[in-house]
Amino acid sequence: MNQTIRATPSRRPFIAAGLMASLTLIAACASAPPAPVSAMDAARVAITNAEKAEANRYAGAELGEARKKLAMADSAVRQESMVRAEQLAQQSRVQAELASARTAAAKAAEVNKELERGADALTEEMQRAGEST
Amino acid sequence: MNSPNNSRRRTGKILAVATAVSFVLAACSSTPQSPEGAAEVRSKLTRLQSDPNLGTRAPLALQEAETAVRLAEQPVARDAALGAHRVYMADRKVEIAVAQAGTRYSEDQRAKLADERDRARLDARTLEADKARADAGAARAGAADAARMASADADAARASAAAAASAAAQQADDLQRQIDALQAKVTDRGLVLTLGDVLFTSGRADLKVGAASNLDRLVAFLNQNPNRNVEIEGHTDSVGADDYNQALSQRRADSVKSFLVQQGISGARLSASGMGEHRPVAANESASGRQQNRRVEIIIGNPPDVVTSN
Repeated sequence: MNQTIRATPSRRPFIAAGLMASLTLIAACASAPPAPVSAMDAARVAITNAEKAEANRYAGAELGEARKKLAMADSAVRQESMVRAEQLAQQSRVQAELASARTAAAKAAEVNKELERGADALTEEMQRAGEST
Repeated sequence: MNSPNNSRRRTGKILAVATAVSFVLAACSSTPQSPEGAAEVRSKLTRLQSDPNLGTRAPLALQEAETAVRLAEQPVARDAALGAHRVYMADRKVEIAVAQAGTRYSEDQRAKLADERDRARLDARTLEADKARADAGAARAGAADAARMASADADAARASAAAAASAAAQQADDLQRQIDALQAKVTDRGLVLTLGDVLFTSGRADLKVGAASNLDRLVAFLNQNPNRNVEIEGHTDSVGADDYNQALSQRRADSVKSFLVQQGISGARLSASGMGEHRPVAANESASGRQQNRRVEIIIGNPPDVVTSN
């Protein structure tokens, strides 16, 4: 260290320039955080799951919003605003999960309606059979 | 020489005042205040929690919603986007809890509907039997009392046999429907239910919300079939050391077991074991393959003397 400081004055500008350059490099690295890959993957998986569950039919609007949020996350990544991209990816995922949940609820309600109709038909048939006697 | 000095002093004073004012403003704006929309989400959650039909039907999703709402209520200094993001997440988690509770409610209603249908069917049988008896009575009006009574008994016996057969068929139907609802595979080991689907984050053992509806159904199934025992097997992907994965898979299995115990299933019926990374169901090379490998398999044993129909 001492030797560096005792270096001839003519070398000092070089050392200063070197320091500046490395600082700039470090700063550049710090300002470009990595893309939120796992959040984006999770969103994609959640959307695929919702599609498999036929969310298209039962919760189309929710599924559409999930896709839109994922597209927004993609473009945020391209603009290198990674914090925003991660938030959008999380929103896309939770929205896709909502699409799945609403799809399941709608299907369950549909099954019940079908069952009710069956029971009603049976009762009706029974009554008719009773009348015909 | 004096005047520049004076003006410098004046500038200093103005600066000081400006700084003070800005401090006061900053203090005002940073008084703890939840982000916009947080109160609405909270009241939506409260409504769900106090709903007599839905409030207790999706415990895991409700818990996640509660956590998200609490986070959304935290004041965020200067980062309005973060506040809005948290409110969005909390709102959707509450809606997911609402939907899951609704699904569970429908499923519980279904059992009641099936009972009603059984009753209707039984009524129909009784009516048929009565009618048969009446017909028999009319046809054999002139015959001896003994003969008439015998035929009526025979009809009644036939009717009750038909009713019993239909009840047995109904029971088999119900079981099949429960199995369908669980989306379990029927194997010689019993019913195998895979809790895959984004259940666990890489390296974590706590359950995610997607697990809730499947697990709720499992709890219902186990309550309806108290003679079936359950083996819970944890599996991991191949990321990380062998020992670590072994321990992690054990913790995952334990985490499912403790959820079931929490839901009132007797611990004596449940065994949990960790299989580590040794039984993958998909290639560990891709993210989606690894996700499928991070799973818990639930093997629902056959009851001691199961009557397999079909």
